[in-house]
Amino acid sequence: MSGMYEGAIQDLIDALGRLPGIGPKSAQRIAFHILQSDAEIAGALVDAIRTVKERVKFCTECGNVSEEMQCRICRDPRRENTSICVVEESKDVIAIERTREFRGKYHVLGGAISPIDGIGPEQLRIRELMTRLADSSVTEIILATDPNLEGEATATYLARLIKPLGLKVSRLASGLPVGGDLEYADEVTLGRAFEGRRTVNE
Amino acid sequence: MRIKQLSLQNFRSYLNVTINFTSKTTTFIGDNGAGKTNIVEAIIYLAFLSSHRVSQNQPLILLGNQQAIIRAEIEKENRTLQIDLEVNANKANRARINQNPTRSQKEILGACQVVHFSPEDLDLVRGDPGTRRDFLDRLLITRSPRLAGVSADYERVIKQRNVLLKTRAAQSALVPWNEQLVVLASNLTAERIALCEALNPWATQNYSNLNETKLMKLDYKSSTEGLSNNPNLNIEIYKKQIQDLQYQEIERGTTLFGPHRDDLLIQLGDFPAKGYASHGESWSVAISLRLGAFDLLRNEGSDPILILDDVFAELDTTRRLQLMAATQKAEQTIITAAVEGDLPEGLETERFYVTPGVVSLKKRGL
Repeated sequence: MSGMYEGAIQDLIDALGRLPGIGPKSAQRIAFHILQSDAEIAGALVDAIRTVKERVKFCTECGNVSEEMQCRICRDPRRENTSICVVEESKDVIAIERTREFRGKYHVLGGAISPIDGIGPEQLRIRELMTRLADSSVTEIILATDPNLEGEATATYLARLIKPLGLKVSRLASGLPVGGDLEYADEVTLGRAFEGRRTVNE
Repeated sequence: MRIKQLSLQNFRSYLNVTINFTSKTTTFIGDNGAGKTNIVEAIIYLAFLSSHRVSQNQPLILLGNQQAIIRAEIEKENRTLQIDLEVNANKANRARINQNPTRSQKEILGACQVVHFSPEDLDLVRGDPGTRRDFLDRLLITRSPRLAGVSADYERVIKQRNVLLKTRAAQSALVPWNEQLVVLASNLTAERIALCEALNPWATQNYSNLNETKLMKLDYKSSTEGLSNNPNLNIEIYKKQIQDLQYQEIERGTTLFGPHRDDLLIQLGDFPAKGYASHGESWSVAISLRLGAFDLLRNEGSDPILILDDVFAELDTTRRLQLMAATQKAEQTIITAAVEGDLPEGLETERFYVTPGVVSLKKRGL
């Protein structure tokens, strides 16, 4: 597959092929699209990539992507300082923000614990989280790591670490999708939903 | 259950082939290396989402390609189900059921159930414990597809935990993995023990049907004492085990207990089959395990496809007759043989002739 074109075009295909979710065929299609599009459009893409690398930093407080020292959410005085929602990636912040359910602040870990990939607690922004928790205004922690093995392990690790501080710690519920049909849920999801059922007549 | 049609694209030696199964029994005849087993391998892959021959996907894909496609029309209780499975070399497989994409390939588990015999079945008796664990786990997945997820999660937790043990990580780093390990291990062990208990009478019966005089018995041999088919009780036992082995595990740098270190113990009379069974007895044991699985599944209401891959050449008349009797019970049987003469006399079957890359109703050169 590789090395079929010469020079610049192959360099572009190779560079695109290294991006997540883009295979050799897609890389080739995108490369030729760029080649055939106006210089302006290609230039805008180049600028956007350059700007993002120059301007975007990580918020010193929560670790979310930001153009300034602190991200938009950390700067917002209307956000409550009493609760912190811990997520794996910046894109999880956006996902939770879309719900408009959470008025507190976030903490982005930068991944989940996975010894196979050489990621332990030290590689994540856990020390920064503990420093933030030392601030007495925080009373509740919501662990919103992914519901997979690594996410669960990270949540368990954090829960144990935070326990001595006497804060309220909760974990996002996992279970049935809203608007879905019970019959279409797979057994694992349904089993979890059963485990996490709640009483309605109290 | 029966497969009505099987299409393979870029799968093993097949660029593109479609096979229509019209008879109760179908036989593929061809020289060694012609590609007979590749056909049954595709069906086995649909049933377990893994090959019985290799653990990676790449060898399943025709050289120079990144993707193979297995497509099957399966008839089950008078309804037809079309399963499409993309087998990918470098990314996750994708599956469709009746043209509709699935969220995970695991959703097709259960659509195609098989019990297969192959010459390698002798390893069930003589091979490593891993071969026998694999036999149990594949049967578990056939009975209850949910367990494919439990087994995969368990293996991943063990891998993660072993990395920590190897690097002598602090106990606090192990805790999150220990919790998941205990739950998954308890579940998997309980299911395996329950399966052994359910399978035992069927295996024993089949063994004695082969005119063998000794009593064949199955026992689940665990590396941990006192486990049962109750996952909740197992959790407490495994929790204690983690405590007891804490220092040994760090010293050895690996997980020292759990279902990945267990074995299926096959007893013949007073002796274990491994090491003591003769060649003939070993074959009888292997056949009894497979036929026992077949009878168990049928007794529980499934109707698995019976696959006899190149086994007739290995067997004497008594054992051939026993397999023939099973083909009478199965709704569909798929057989492969290198030589037509190896097929049992009186076998009613449609015949396909296999040459490299080609499956044909006619013998080549005739």
